Amino acid sequence: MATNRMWDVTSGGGGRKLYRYMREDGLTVQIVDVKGFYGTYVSASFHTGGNDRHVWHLGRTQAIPAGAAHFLEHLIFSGNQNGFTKACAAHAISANASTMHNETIFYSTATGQTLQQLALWLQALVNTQFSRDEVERERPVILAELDMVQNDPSFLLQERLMQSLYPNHPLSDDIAGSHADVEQIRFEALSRFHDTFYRGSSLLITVVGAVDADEREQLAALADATLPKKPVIDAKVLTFDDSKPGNAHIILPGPVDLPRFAFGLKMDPRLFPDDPRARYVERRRLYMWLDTWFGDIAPATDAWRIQDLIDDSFYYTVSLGDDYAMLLFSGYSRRPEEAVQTILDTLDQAVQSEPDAYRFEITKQASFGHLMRRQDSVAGLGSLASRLWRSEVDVFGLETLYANMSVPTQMFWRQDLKQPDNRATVILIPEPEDRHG
Amino acid sequence: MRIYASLHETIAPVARGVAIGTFDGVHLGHQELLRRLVMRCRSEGLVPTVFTFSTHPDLVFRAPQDFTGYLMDEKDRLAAFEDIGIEDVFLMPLTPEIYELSAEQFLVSWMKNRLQARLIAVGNDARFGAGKTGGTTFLLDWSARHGVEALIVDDVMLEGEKVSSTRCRQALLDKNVQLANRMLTHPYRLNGTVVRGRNLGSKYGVPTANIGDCATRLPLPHGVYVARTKVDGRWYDAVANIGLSPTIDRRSTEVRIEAHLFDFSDDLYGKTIVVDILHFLRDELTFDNFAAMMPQIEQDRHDAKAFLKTSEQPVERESVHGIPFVEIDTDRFAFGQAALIFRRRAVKGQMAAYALLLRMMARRSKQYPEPSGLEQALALLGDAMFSPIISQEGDVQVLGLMIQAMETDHGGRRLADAITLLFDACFNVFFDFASPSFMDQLEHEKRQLINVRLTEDEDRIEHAIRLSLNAVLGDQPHALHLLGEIAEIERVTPADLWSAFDALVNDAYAAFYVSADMTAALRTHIVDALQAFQPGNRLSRIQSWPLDAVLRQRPPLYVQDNTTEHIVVHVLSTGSTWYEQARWADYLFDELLGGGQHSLLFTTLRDEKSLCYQVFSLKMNVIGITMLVAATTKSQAEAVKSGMEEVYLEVAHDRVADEAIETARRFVDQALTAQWDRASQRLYTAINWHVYGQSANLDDKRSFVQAVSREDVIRVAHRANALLWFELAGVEDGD
Repeated sequence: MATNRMWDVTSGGGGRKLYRYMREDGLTVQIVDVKGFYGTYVSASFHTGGNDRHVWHLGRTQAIPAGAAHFLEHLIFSGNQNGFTKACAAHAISANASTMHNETIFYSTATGQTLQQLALWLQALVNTQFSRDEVERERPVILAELDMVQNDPSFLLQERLMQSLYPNHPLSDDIAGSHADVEQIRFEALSRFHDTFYRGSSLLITVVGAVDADEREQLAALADATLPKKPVIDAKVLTFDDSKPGNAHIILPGPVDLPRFAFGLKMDPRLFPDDPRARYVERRRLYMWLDTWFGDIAPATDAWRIQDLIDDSFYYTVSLGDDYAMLLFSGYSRRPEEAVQTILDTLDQAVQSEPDAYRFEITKQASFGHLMRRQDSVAGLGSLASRLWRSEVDVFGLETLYANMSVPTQMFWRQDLKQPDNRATVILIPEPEDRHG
Repeated sequence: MRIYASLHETIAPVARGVAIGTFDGVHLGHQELLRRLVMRCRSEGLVPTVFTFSTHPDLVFRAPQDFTGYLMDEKDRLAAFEDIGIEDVFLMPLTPEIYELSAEQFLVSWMKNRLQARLIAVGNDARFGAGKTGGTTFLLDWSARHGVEALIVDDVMLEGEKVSSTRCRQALLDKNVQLANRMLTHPYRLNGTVVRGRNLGSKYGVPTANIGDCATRLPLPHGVYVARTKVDGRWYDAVANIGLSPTIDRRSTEVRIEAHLFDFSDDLYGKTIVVDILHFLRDELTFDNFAAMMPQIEQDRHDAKAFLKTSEQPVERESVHGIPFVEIDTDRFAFGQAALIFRRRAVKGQMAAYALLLRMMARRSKQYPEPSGLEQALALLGDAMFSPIISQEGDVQVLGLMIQAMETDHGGRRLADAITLLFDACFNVFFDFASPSFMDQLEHEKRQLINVRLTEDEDRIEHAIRLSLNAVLGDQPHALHLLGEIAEIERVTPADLWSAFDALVNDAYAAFYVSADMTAALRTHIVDALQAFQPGNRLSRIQSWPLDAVLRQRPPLYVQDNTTEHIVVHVLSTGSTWYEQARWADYLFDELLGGGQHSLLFTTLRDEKSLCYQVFSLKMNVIGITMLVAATTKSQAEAVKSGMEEVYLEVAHDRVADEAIETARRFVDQALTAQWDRASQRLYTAINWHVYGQSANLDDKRSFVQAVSREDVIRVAHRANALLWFELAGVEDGD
């Protein structure tokens, strides 16, 4: 197929190739050609999510309730006018979606059929139609979903922790919204949300499979033809919540048989570089530095386990968005107060110490291996390629990226992590009565 | 396995289940019949028996030239019977004393009186008795009159046609070795002794083994084949030439079988070897001389290696002290995987000790006595993962240690190092009972396990499924918790761990599986590592198969809870078909009912009626139940129950649209291809092929799914019995 389209091409191991095409308005199509696989993966990712609480209407931004992004995601599937579910069934396409704080990703897997998958997604996402009746029919389903998560200790901990760390930020609300939010979401708000954010200019399409040159061109042509060139609407409102959680310490009874803790340390997101790739690298460096102190390779964690302070559920992460940044720790513990204090003491010690270059090298190897492992399935490779590209990182450039990642010496986050005011802790303890009745 | 080879031998007086047939090739259809017989015999206390002949009937009843040759040597046929679990074989000479008996006389004198058959299994085209007057109709009638059960087994279809010995032979004659092997489920095999050749190959660096003694076997078309050759218990990849070798001797009329083994250089003269034929590469060609043939030989070697790497079929490479080493050779994935698997029957009161043992093994080794040390070693292998396998198949505990290591650009070295870690953890056990630190570690692991038990019920759906399962299984081993009960965990002593370790490595069924980009060095490394085992009297593969559960019908069960969810579970008995071809219809039934967003339950209860957030079906194939599960609210629970029943009846009353069945078929097919694409699933493909004889070929599985008819699916719904309605009740909305 003759074309003037210019593809950027990079190569990975085992003859894999990544082709990327970006239209002038921002629409991006990336195709990973992997030989020898039957399965294919197609995703469409929009740069919008639960943190977007404003839509564009009549030339200005307008506030909407929490949960709109998630509600819209539901409607894409259940709106019968889209006929999406039936069309998926006809082609044996397994489709799913995930709404995050700043991104909503729709993805599918099938045997071959990349063009059918993409056509279905584009039809459902861009030319979507849903009626007021369908909005009303979906509302109880979402409310039932909210009921379900109310019994989930992870959700309860996360919700209370976010309310303490970011009381003035959309993060303090669940992505799906509260019961009251969901009751308030109207058809008009959903339509406007769609008009504002579901645009080709903010869309990243990722395709993984045994895709030859012809199919690659057809995929790009389909995206070009279906998505009119429209400008990005700047309805994104960044909220820098500089409030101090003030070392809040919350203990509440919940649906657990074993105490569970979560605590967070708030950081200034503006300390991280603006450039997406550099920002990604710094986040990874911070995470790997944490690994050297708190990961399974750290001897201290052996002792904590033996002392019964933590168990295999112990978990930590670095959460970094455009307008928020924090470290989160969580786990079950029979002695949660002591566990939290021990981890915080260790963190204090860590920020005052020079990084351990040897252990950092070990965590780098593990971290790179982890990302390689995800590439062993078309879905894993696809979701990784999609996520990385939002940070302008090439999935096949990881080896070089990691090779050049040096031990963090500046540790610009050090100051924030030292401040007790930046911290909040939530501990969930078993309810006093036997909840099994 | 006892073999009775003459008509007048004294026969052990035991009640038997008997399969009658020729069973040349012991192909897929034969295996279906024999496996069903064995499983029925196990549950009814009968001795699984084969009644067959030492001579193929075509050699007796037809002109000798009409018989093209055996698909299998007698020794291999008997081994295949034993492998499936047959305990007695009557390998009778086909003499007038037998073939002149009428069908009635044959059944009475042989089956009823001499073999004491309580169950007789035949294929649906079976003919027996003088003049072949006995068939399935006759057998059914006779069985009813004599109080013997007849088991008539349907044909197995592959690529739209019945699997038969005749079709296998024809496929081989048509050079379609792969189709023949798919029907046989094993490669077409030749056995022979290596005879002296002219040594021309050796002079040019391509030594070959020349094999004689295959006269009674089906003569394969002349040509070059991809092969695998077994020498002294180890399999080597090879190319084999079958033909007259005209380049060497243009006047030759003697068919030679010559195998050139890869990664092998010893002299084979006088040795008995086995040659498995895998794929037809090309016709036999004539060259001016041997030197002129060399480029073609190189091309054949290259093509054979490419075929072996891309076909991804499992092979049992070797057995060390009775521990089989099974591999899938593939270069599609960045990570290689290996697992040491043990299988033993689940025993009440012992579950916790085994779970603790495996968890402790995966955390420490003699070289790395602290978990962080082991984790550092794994990290330096590129995030290698070392994990315990603690799972259950019916009443069988499946335990083991699994390792995954990055292979890209490392030529198997990292996986070899990781395998060393695995064996170090398994055999150089760190147990030092006298040390206080050991007791600390044990107590810590106990608390970890107890934590897991305490927190697992936080998932309400999982909790409801577990309670439902316990209700229909009672205290059978099938219902035992993988990790043991909390009180049981607390009681485990160091001596219990030692007993568990001893029983695991010396008594349980054990095997080593690997799926990776294999090299000769990696194979040698694995074989060396397996030397750590001692020869022992371990469970056989068949002994490690699960036994049927007895399912109890229960009145509705209602458990009150304080959460806001309300879980409804409907338990149906759909029969234990995991070893039968019928399981493919069960998969379709399960997919149709509750397999995803396209399923009847989802589209009806969630999409159309908005009654629940989550609804699906869950098939537990080994136990033989299907659960319909919905997460809803208390006020919607009754409507959900009615909806579930309506959907189920829709299928049972044959009112479901063809399109719905076709959709289910497409999704089952898609799931199969997705499994093929997943590295970890490739390993489990090898395990299921090795342990249960399930096909490891993706095309086979897709073909079986295509062969399921609408009637087959409806039959599953008819077969299903309601066992239990279970509700894990949440509080009323607004309570």
